[in-house]
Amino acid sequence: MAKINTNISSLKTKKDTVVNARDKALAADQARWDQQIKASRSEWERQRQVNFTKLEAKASTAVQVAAVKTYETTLTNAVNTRRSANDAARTNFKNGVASALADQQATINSQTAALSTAVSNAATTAQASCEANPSNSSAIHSTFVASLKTARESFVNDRKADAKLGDTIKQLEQTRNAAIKTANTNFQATAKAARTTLKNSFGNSSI
Amino acid sequence: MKKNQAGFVDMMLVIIIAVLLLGMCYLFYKHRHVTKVAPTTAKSQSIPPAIGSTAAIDNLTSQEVNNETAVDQKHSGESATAQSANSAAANIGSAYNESSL
Repeated sequence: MAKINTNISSLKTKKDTVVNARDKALAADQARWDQQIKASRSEWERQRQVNFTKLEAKASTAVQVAAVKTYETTLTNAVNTRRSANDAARTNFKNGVASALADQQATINSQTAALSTAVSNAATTAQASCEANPSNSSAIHSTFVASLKTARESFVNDRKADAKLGDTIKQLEQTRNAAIKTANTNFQATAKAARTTLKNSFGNSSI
Repeated sequence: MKKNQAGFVDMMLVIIIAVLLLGMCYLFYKHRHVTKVAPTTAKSQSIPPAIGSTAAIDNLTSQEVNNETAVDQKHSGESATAQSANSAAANIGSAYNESSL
């Protein structure tokens, strides 16, 4: 019995170690991707400003100057709106994944505790039965083994049934991707309209 | 006999000289022949739009969108990473084998 309890405890510790490593890996990946996005946005900002400055130099009338300013403001606001929407989508995804992982952990821990309790109860019952009826050891042993088997198989089946983490994360991905796609589409429509308005101000010339 | 031998030698000399001349002609032809190099069709390079044009600005924003999309695609690996603990959890079910008791 002591060996069974030790094995359960040891395997649970191994599971906890794997979970900790996984959580660290996920956090590191997410931080790296966030940094990549932040760095690239900074670069796009710099290049966009270079282009805005050149564009402003093309304006030769007060109307054109105002039109360029409006275009820049509209575009900048649209970029920021898109970024905020996409960041929110990513945050929701990350939070959803964290929540799903926490739920899975809670389920595993609960199932492990149930297994330990069932094993302990089987042992206690067997011991009490032996003390009450020492001559019936064979039947008591059979009952004890059957109880252990039921406890183990219940745990295994419960783990198999708890295979929804992958589906949950896939759904979260789809939700995130759909939100990002919508934000990008809206942005492109706004940018196109702003460009058309600017061109009209310059007499539809190539600008 | 001597006359025949002389004639034979003369003939051999003629043949050798002829072969040498043919070889030189071939080599000359090979070097002289201009291998027509297929004119390298310069790949039509798309000329980037001029800095300060709305087209250039559009390019930048498209690149930003594409870049972030590429980063988001990497998040697909999270599913596999997240499920990496499944095996360790399932192993708890092999803590004992009751049939060996």
